Amino acid sequence: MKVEVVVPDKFLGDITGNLSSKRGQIEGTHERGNNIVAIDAQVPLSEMFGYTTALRSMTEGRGNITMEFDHYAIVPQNVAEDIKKSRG
Amino acid sequence: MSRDYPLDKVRNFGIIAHIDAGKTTTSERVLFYTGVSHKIGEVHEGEAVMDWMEQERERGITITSAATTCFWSPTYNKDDKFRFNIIDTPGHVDFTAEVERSLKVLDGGVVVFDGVAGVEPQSETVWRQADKYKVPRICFINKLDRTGASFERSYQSILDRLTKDAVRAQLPIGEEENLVGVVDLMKMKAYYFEGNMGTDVIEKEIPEELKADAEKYRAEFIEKIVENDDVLMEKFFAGEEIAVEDLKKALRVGVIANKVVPVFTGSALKNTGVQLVLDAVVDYLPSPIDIPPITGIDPKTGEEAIRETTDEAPFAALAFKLQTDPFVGQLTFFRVYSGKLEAGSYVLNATTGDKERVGRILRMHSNDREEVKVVYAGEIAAAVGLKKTITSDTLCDPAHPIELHKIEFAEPVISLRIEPKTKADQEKMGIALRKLSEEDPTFKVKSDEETLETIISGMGELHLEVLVDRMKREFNVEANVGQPQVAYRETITGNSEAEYKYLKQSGGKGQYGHVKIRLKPMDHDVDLEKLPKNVKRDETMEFIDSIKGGVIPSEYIPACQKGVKESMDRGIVAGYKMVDVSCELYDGSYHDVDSSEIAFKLATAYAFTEAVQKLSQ
Repeated sequence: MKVEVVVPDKFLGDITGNLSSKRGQIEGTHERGNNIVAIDAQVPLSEMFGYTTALRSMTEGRGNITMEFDHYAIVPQNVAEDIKKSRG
Repeated sequence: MSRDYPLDKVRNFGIIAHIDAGKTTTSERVLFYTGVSHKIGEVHEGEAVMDWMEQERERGITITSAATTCFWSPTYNKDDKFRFNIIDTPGHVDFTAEVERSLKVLDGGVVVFDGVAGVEPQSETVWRQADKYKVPRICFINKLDRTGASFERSYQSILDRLTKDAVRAQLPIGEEENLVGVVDLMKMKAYYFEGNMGTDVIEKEIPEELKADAEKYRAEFIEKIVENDDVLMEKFFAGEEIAVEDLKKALRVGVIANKVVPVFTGSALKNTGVQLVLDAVVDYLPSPIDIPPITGIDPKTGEEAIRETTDEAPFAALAFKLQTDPFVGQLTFFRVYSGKLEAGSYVLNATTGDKERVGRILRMHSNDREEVKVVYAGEIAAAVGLKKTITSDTLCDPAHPIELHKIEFAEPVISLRIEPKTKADQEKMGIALRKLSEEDPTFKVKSDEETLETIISGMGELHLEVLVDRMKREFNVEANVGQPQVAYRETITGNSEAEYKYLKQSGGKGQYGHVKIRLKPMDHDVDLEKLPKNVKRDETMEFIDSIKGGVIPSEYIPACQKGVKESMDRGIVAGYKMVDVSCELYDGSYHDVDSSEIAFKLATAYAFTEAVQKLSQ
């Protein structure tokens, strides 16, 4: 998924770290003025469920996210095994 | 019949803010002071006039933006009368579409802040939305009576996080439980609100202890105002006293040009300061003729066209909201930009090209309505009888077509499966979902090709929850919703081959199919025009027929392709649809009597499964 997270810049490090732990790739960040920064990233959809709530708790409720489908990508082996198991 | 109100005495404005800043409470006060309601409806008691939907009253939040009309005479001049068209908007980001479309049709906005929290995330969001549509704004720092409230801190957060152009126009007298009134820095007077529900506005001298602060901040305020006016600027630097009337005029120009944002204060719940905000709306927010004329595209020529905001210009309006009303059917809310519209006349929907008859025109007071014969430029009203018009369509004079710029809505981000609880609900659910998605452009419905389940998408979990709830109450449909899911795909990343002989020759009519296939990932970068004749491809697969010398008769080849296609749709590894596979059928054999289409289809399917499984080991 193509993801854009808009947060106050003091949370930049926390959020990029968190996105990376979700198999996300940070593509860039840019200033939005007034100490707001927008982070562009590619993150698998399966990691994004419940993210809005998580983002709000990480950013004192000030973070905002929009996402849209971008492309399909290869699922890593360990995740693929989990999917196969869950599908019987 | 001519218009009952001159255009310069009309104000179309919205109340926008973060969740729970007090937008609806403020609008309820406005309705009370303007004499529309005789009792103040409290949000926390579930009785607000503007929150009329059942869910709104239960949850104490605003979901749909409600439009209402009222009249206001400024406190300083009781003989004058202005018409207000007010739109109360929701604060939750899940209902962002409501804010977006309200801002599109408004001329000005009152941004409300919580005096304890100052600027909150949704205030930032709505502020940016208002920036997008260049809506002039004034700020109202509300809830100053609450413990922990601070005018100064909230004001600083506006400067830090929203705009440097904000400037104090008032000071509070006392804070938290000591809040008793406000100081007007323009007139240098103190105002107290007395009587039942604060209806009596009492003007007094500024209390001694606030005088120094008032002088200091007045200088700041005036400096900000004169920045946009050269004549006043000279006077200011020459140290001359500038007349209040001149300052007001200059401030009005500054606000309309989006260069100054005056900040007002008070507490809507404690009935402090609301009337002065209404005066400010009259004094500083634009009337329909103060904003630049609307532009659009002439559908015939494709050129830019302009409509002046006058009653004589050809009719042009933008439909910004649909609402299903239990009594009159579908209501189409529209903002008239130019000309006038009479009930019973025909309009052209320039977006779709349909001609439609406007049956009745209603002026809305949140959920009550008043029928009118004509609406004029600059007004907001609702029409009954438009069947083909949807949100952000342009309505115009058939003789003078124009297409106004559309409202842009965000794409939905969350999807859920939904299924009717009983067979009887199935059809009703389809109708309900269609109606709801017509009302709300950020709510989308589609059906999953693979599972045939209905998938609904929206802006957030609250959004979908409210819609499912509405479906239950308004359309009587019971439905189950599922967890959000990912639609994975399967594909191959390497080359593989397999052979399969499907045999059943144990007496009587037998089966015989024998195929050899090769698989490789499909290459998307090919020129479709130059494909060899033996290659058949679609979006997700490619089938190459390399059979030479009729080792498999040509009538069985389509069956082979079908075998591959069906296996791919079912998925091999985890049951998800397989895509991007190129399959070449290069050899095989047949039997004169026992071969059949089904035998070759099965043989290819088994060979395909085997070839894929080789790769996944």
